[in-house]
Amino acid sequence: MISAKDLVSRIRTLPPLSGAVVRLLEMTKNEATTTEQLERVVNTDPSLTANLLRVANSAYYRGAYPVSAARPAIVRLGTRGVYEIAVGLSLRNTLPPQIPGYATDAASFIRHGVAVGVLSARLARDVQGIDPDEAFTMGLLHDIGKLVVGTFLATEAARAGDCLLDQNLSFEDMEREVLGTDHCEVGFEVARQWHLPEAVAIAARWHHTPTAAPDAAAQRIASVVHVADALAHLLGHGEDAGELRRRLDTTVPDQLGLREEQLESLAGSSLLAIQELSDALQTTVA
Amino acid sequence: MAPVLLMPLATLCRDSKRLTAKGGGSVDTVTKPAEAGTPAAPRPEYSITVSMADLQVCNDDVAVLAAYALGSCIGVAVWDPTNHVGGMMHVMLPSSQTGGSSGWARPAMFADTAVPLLVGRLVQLGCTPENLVAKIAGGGQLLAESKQLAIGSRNVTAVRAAFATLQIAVSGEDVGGTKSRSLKMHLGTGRVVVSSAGEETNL
Repeated sequence: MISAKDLVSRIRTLPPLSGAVVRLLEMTKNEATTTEQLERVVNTDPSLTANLLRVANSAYYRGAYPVSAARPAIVRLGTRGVYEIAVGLSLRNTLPPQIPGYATDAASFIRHGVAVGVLSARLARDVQGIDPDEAFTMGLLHDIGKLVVGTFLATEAARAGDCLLDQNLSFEDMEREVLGTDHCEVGFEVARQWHLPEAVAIAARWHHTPTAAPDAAAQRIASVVHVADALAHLLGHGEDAGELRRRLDTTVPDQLGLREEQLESLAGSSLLAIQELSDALQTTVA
Repeated sequence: MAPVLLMPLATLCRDSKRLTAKGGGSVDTVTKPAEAGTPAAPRPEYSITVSMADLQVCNDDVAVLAAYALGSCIGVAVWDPTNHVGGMMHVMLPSSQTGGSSGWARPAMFADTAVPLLVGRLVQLGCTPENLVAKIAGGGQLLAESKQLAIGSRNVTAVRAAFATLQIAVSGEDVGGTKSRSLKMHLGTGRVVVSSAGEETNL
């Protein structure tokens, strides 16, 4: 078991998200934001500029001609595209090469986060009451608690392994069994610490138990990420300990009004975006 | 002529370019060291990754085709023991009807279009359909499978049906359950290996 004090001190050691990202999120929520304003923020971060150019010139976004400056890259990617890359990069820069306790590495963690982000953003188009601009971030960052929990799990690895031998125990059950908390509770605290939007904290806290979220709006947010997470794991976007041993709340897709064909079509139509964006974030330009 | 030969090949399969670039046996030109007259040093094995919704065919003895993190997707390995030519695909969804004419849809993504496409490409490389040996792995599911997320079992059914249509037997399977698997095929021997949670099994 880990104490609340241990957790808080561990959360404090995580590097903060970049200031440019926090400002970009505020700007994307304001419809009056101009390309010039975005450009000014982007230009304060040379690494962000370099990576925006790379993504703007990638196969997924490629236009008739290559772009070589921030302004045309921003025009091509759109406000939301710029924000998605910015927040993805800052997550990438926060990750250690390996995430102990989850038998996963930075590449798999990013791939899974990007998949859940892209799928959540697409689902948000069909679900009332979700801000599509926040949906990507909700998905991308839903597992941030693992960055903290992983180091504690690694020291309890033997017990965790024993627990996982029980085929009907989900990975979150195992975390609670071994640590007395799970990556959802911890993720909520990390979201607070990073001053992330409320919706992102809600998604981190309730993505495994959406019907337990406190109100209808929070339940919708958590449900979208719950379905996106299940779909991403199912398809194999990013490997992780526990593999497919995740509980899907089978009432959730029905509550969101989602049908099998819609989910399969969503999986297929999101594939290229997931591949391009996670590849772009894997090999970032410093 | 077998209908598989009539499959449109204008697809997103990047096999011939990739194999030529690797310097191994290319799809279009077979160059084996033994045919050069002097015995050559054995070349080392190299791996070709088949990513999600893609397929690869190859006629190089030392190549290993691999599909990783299969989840509900299905890795399909097909091999001709008479000429050591084989192919692999990483099928994502059961039916091409899901994609319709959408820009994102590609034949290697769906079981019903991917299986005839793979067989057609192998025939182009000199394989005979009745010689082909097919093995499949994947089709996993979450702990509580709901009817909305039964993609894994629907994929298994669709891949089996597609091979049945072509009268090709599926001689090895490791499918279902909550496992995530990887699939490898060594083209020189036809050996097919499934790995899951660090354990390897010959299929």
